[in-house]
This record gives sequence, structure tokens and C-alpha cells, in this order.
Amino acid sequence: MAELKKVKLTSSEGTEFIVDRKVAEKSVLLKNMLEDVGESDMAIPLPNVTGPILNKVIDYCTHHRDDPFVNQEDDSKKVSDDIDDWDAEFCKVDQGTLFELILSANYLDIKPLLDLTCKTVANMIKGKTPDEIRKTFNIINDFTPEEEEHVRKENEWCEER
Amino acid sequence: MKVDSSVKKYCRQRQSVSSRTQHNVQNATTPLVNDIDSSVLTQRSNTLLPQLNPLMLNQPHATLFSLPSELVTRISFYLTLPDYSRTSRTCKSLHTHFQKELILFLRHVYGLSVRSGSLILFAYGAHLQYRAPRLLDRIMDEFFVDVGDNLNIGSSNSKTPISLRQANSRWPTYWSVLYSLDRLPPLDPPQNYTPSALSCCSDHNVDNCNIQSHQNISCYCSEQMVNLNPKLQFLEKYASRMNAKFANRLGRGGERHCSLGRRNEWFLSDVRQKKTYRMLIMQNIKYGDVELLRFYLEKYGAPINGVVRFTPE
Repeated sequence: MAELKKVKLTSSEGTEFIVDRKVAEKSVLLKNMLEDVGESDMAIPLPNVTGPILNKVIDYCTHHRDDPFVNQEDDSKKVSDDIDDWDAEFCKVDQGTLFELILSANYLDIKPLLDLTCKTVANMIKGKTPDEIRKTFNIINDFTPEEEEHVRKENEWCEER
Repeated sequence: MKVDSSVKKYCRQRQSVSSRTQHNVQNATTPLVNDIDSSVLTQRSNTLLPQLNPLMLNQPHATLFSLPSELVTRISFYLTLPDYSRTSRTCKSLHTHFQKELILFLRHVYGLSVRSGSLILFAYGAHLQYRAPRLLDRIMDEFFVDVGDNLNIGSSNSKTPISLRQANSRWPTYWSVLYSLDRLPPLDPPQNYTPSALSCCSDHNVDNCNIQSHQNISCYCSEQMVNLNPKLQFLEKYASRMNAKFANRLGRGGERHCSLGRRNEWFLSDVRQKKTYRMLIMQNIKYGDVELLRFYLEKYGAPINGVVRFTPE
């Protein structure tokens, strides 16, 4: 059996990760970089991604390594309740990690991971009142009572339909 | 993975700080350590990651507010309209962002299009002329914009200016949306509607008025409009914008300029010659909608070869 090609990735702290090329290529950024660099043992630096986050990203890409490529232009109907069990478990992290995963997925251009993490945040918002959303995301209410009432009226049409 | 165990510990550490507010900045003053061997870094990563990572010195932990606006918008695409609204009501910065992106949200989530006019029909059905007049104006602003609005440069192979040809290319769309609006069922004003609460001119403050000088029309939310029926009010606003658009381009009244007259070009004065206009009039006669009939006849006149007379009964 042919040996799988490996690539080296370096996180922002300088930690080196060795992964299968197929796994790395789930990232459009890495796929393009690897094609640009050609055959090389040089590690690809990812200064925007910390080690722990890169580790999570690699976990995700390894699990989904055989998934078909998702068309970047595919803007099919956005639903957030189609998360499978593994992905749901994967996203059971604290908020800081979740938002860093979103940033990393965006930077690395991994659309399925970006979709998954965005859906997870959307699910944390759904069905909540503004006050509950504030509590969930530690948002400080900087409206005056008058402004809050005005904004509520302004948005009334959205919530009554 | 080399840092597998550190990840779990790191995540646990993060969970312990997740209750901090987004404004809580970590007091990390550890200087940036350069040229640290990666193996040393790996060993130390169990406890010192936040201190050693220069990016994390500036951003101790990512929050919703750490995300660039396009990612916040992307998250919003998975929300329903009520959830979108409730999120926008949480704080000023999200409110500003979500209001700015509302049209994009409606386009993306509901598959509506400003260009085709489906968003205009949605606006009618959603009572936006009462509930969100500013949003309605923004939708109409986008709908009635032409790429060549500020251009008036003749192309090399045509005597017709670019802006005029683009305006004409949009004429069938403008007209077909008016026709579609006419076919929509009448609406009652929404319950609990108080014109003074949302009308942009309710406080007689001209600065607050939705109507911009370039729109060249009277304010639709002035008090004399309140008594109109909702459908007529919406049509009045829409037709005013449409007619003003062509009046601006072609001179007063949107009359045809002799030197610019070309076949297949639409001019305001041509409306009464269109077969669809005749259909529209006939339908309103059929359904006996005198108010709408009067509205069209006053705006565009009787269909060509047709005479419409109102009798007292």
C-alpha cells in the first residue's frame, strides 16, 4: 500500500503538526499552498491559528476526510438543525474556542467547518429573548430604556409575522 | 498529536473564563519571547499558552465581537427573522450591524431579490409601509437604482446615452412589479398601528424625513396619506418613485425626447399604450375597485383607444 503523503503545519506558537495531505487539503488555503509549494518538506506556517485550535481543526478534517468537496458557491437553503452527532459533540466547547474555530475555519477556508460552527452559534441564539441572548454571549445592554423601546417597536414587524 | 492533552486542559481553562464580559481584557504583560524552540513551547503549552501567544495577548479569548462583520452576517443566515430581530435588539453595535445587513438577510434567507422586485412584494405583504418605512425606503432605493445613474456618457456605437438605455432596460421590471402589486390582495392596516410612532415626519422634523431630495417626491407618510387604503398607499409610493425616476431622466413628466426616441424603449407617456396597462384597467373595472382605477387614470390616463368615465353611482 502506498504511503500516504504527509505535510507539516506550524501553529502560531511554533508547534509542529504532521498530518496526511488529504486531511490538510480539506482546507482550500492549504490545498492551494501545497500546490504552489510542490513537493517539499517545509512546514506551512499558520500564524493565525493556535495549537489547540489547529488540533481541533485537524480532528474535524480527519473525521471528514472522505466527505465530498463542497462547492464554495453552494448557497442552498440555510438550515441549522442538520448537525450530525459527531459534529454536535465536536462543537461542545467553550465559546472562546467556538469563535476561534469560526475564525480559523474562515482563514483556512474550510467551508463545512465554517458552516458547522456558524450553525452552532445560530442554535445558541434561536428561541431566546434579547436578554437571554445577552446572557449567553456576555453582551452588555448599552441601550437607554427609551432606545430599547424604540428598537423594539422598529423590529416589531419581524417578530409578529 | 503532540499537544493533545494540553488541548483538553486549555479548553477547560477557557471554560473557566467564559463568563467574563467581552470587555474584560486580560492583564497580560509577559513580553513576547522570540526564538523559543518549538519543543520547549509544546512542553510549556499546558499552562502558558495565553501568555506566550502574541495574538492572544491582544485577544484573551474570542467572542462574538471578535468576529469580522461578514462572519456575524454569515451566522445570521441561519437565524429566522424573529431570532435575527431579537439578536439585533441586544446592543447598539449588533443593532447597527443587523439593520445594515437586513436587506441582505432577507435576500439570502427568503430567496428574495431586490433586482427582480420580489422584495418589494414582500415589503407590501409585511406591511413595511407602516411597520418599517425606513426599511421600505432602503429597499426601494436599491430597487430603483441603476448602475449608470451618475453616467451620461454616449457609447461609441449608439446615440442613446448609457444611463437612458439602462433605465429603459429596467422599465419592464418596474412596470411588471407595479402590475404584480396591483394583483396582490388588499391588506388591512396592521393591528395596533399608530402612525405617529413610526412615521418619519410625525414630529415635523424635516431632518428625520425618509424622503431624500434626490427622490423628488412628496413624503408619503404625511398625515393626509394616513387615511388612504394600504394597497393604494403602497402603490402611490411605488408609482411616485417609478415616475420620479423617469421624470429625472427624461425631463419633466418623463416625456419622450424627439432625438432619443427609439423603438422598444419605454417612456412614462407610453404607459397608456401598453397592453398590460389595458389589462390592469380592465381588471380593476371587473373587480369594481374604483379607488385603484381612479389612481391609475389620474397617473397615466385612459388606455389608448379607450375611454373611462366615472359616474356618480
